[in-house]
Amino acid sequence: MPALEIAHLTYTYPTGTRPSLQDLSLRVEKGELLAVIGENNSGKSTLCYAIAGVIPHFFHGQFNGSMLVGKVNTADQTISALAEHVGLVMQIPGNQLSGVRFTVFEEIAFGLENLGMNRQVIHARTTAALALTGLSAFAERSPYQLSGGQQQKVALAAVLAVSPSLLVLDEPTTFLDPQGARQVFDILLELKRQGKTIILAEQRLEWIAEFADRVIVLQNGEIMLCDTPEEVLRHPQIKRMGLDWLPYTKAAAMAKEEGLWAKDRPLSSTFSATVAGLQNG
Amino acid sequence: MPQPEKQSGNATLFIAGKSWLHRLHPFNKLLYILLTGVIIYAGPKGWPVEVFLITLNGIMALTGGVFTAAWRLLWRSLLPLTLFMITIHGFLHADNRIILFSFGRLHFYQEGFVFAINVLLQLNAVLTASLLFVFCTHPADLISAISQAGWPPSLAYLLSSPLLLLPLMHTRIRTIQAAQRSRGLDSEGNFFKRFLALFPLVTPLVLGALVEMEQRSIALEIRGFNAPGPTTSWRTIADSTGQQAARWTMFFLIILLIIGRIFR
Amino acid sequence: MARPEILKSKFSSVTLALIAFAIVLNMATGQLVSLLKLPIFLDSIGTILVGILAGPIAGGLTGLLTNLLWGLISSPVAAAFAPVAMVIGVIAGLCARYGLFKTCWLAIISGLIITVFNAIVAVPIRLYMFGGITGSGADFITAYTLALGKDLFGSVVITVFTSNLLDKVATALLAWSIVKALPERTANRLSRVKSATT
Repeated sequence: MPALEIAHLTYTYPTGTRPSLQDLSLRVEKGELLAVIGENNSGKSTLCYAIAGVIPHFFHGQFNGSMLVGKVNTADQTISALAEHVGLVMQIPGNQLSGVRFTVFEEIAFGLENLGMNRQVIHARTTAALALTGLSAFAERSPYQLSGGQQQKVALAAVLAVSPSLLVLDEPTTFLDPQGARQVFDILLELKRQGKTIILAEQRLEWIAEFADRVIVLQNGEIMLCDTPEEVLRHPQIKRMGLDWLPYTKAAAMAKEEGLWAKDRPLSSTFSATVAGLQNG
Repeated sequence: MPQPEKQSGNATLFIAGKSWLHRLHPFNKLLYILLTGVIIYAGPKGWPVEVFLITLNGIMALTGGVFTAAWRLLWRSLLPLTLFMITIHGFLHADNRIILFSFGRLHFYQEGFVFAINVLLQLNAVLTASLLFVFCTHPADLISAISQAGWPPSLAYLLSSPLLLLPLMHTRIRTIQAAQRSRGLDSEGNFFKRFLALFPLVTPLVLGALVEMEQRSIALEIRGFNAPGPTTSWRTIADSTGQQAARWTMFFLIILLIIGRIFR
Repeated sequence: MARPEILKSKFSSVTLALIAFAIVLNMATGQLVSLLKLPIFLDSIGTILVGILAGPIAGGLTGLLTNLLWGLISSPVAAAFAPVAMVIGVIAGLCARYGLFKTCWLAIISGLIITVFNAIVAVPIRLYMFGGITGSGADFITAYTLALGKDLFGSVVITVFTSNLLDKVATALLAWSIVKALPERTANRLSRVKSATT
């Protein structure tokens, strides 16, 4: 059974004049890391919201098609009931704090309390989430006095503590400095290693080129491309979708023009692949 | 402007400590405020009662380690009130008959003075009782107590969220103010101009925060805030049969005093 | 238990976030406009906004909680006036319900109505708890009217009315202009907006 199965999803916001997602079908296997890329307003956030049930339950609007997380049909559940199955991390770190808990530990435990877990489970899971995100030293601090990067890790830890089968992140590093972004990515890598299913909307293509299993490109709410990162990121059409080649791909393309790249070798999209291509050119 | 308290990480007057007052169940402290208020405004009248309660609250503040803080806050909030109260009523109270002393044609009267002192004593008694609660109760404990008592989680949210967001709002406002100053906001113009300047100052603050509000409510939902099943609570508030008995006693005293007041 | 469901079923998470935000707005806007040196406090801007956007119950709750929390933040004296703040929210909500926030002029009338009800609740509290004096600049008005020979009750009524009139009318106008300027996306989420202002 796939971790996520979307069939012919079309969605229009209540105030929208055209659909934000159009006839979108997607299947994500267990343990897969799927990256969602595309320009602003291409539907990345809308897709993330839809998987977490925020669409249609919070925003309402016109929702057609089906969305299955494991066996759960998101249309039949409330957002809060879906929390057990889907974890959502959003862009702005501070806005994700609950506003009801005064320490980092209790902030992370909040979701578990809402699901009625007993004290032993709360303690064990919260402690584990703190350790995984490197926040153990901050357990008794106020989450409101942390940096953006640390707050984003709190948001991530809060989601992980609940242990949902599917993790959805909507551009989690947009408002972080490079160090904060790297720490969040390192945690994602560790989760991937542990076999978590992750859907990541992201602008930083470099990381996706290295670590994503599969990439989809959205434009005007439609899936334009769906393939491995190598294939997607060197795709000639990608510039028409508001995206750009990575410097490594550009370097490979220039080398090819100069005759420094083997004719039958496809362009590369990571540093190491470009170096390898140039060495063998 | 109140400075954010280091230990609590929020904007309240709470002072961290481990005294018996800090450990007391928040509802006991709240009911004590209510009881004091009912004694003062519905119970036996007269200064001995008021002085007794103020002394009692003072002793409790001492044992709770918050006496100095309470003393300072009392001065801060009651000094201007005291000055205005004694002067205005001493000179101008409608029942004034007996002159205590005079400045030329201005007479200071006994009736107004006694009235002012009485009001101040009553206020002091209620205020000191409130301070015991405010200084010795971490907001998180109050919120946990509310949740544990079975009150709705939305009430807990409405009490805690503003406390946590207020420091952020102050920071944001300081930024806006700095920007307005550097752009030369018309703070010297005539009244009507300054009044009109109000609109461009406040509107962006509100509209910006409305978008944020949407995200905060989504954040609550996806954390299972409205999950259907029963919830649990990590933070627990110590309670005892003794404290529960004290709560009931205070509760019945309050009811008795109110009934007594109605049929007096 | 019966009571937990009362609030839970009543308010959506959007309304909750709106109320929480409005409480913060009540507490902080005064600081923002202090630059303009106007004789107004704007400490009920959030309360009136919620009254318009979410109805009298939510508005009343906003006012009540603002002053109770103020008691925790600056001084418990503020908590004594919680009933006043609550009535402001309820009346603003009722004004909006009966179409009194549709135009600029109607908003001014709402401001006047709010001033009247503000006085009805504030005067007894000032009189019985504070002996008519609150330790603020408004006490000079009380002193002046007392000196003119008015009794304490009359003096306090005049004080409360005059010191609040400009503030409440300005707040009502400001709230009206903000609701008018709401983006459609937000207005759509708060279903009362349309019926309140158009």
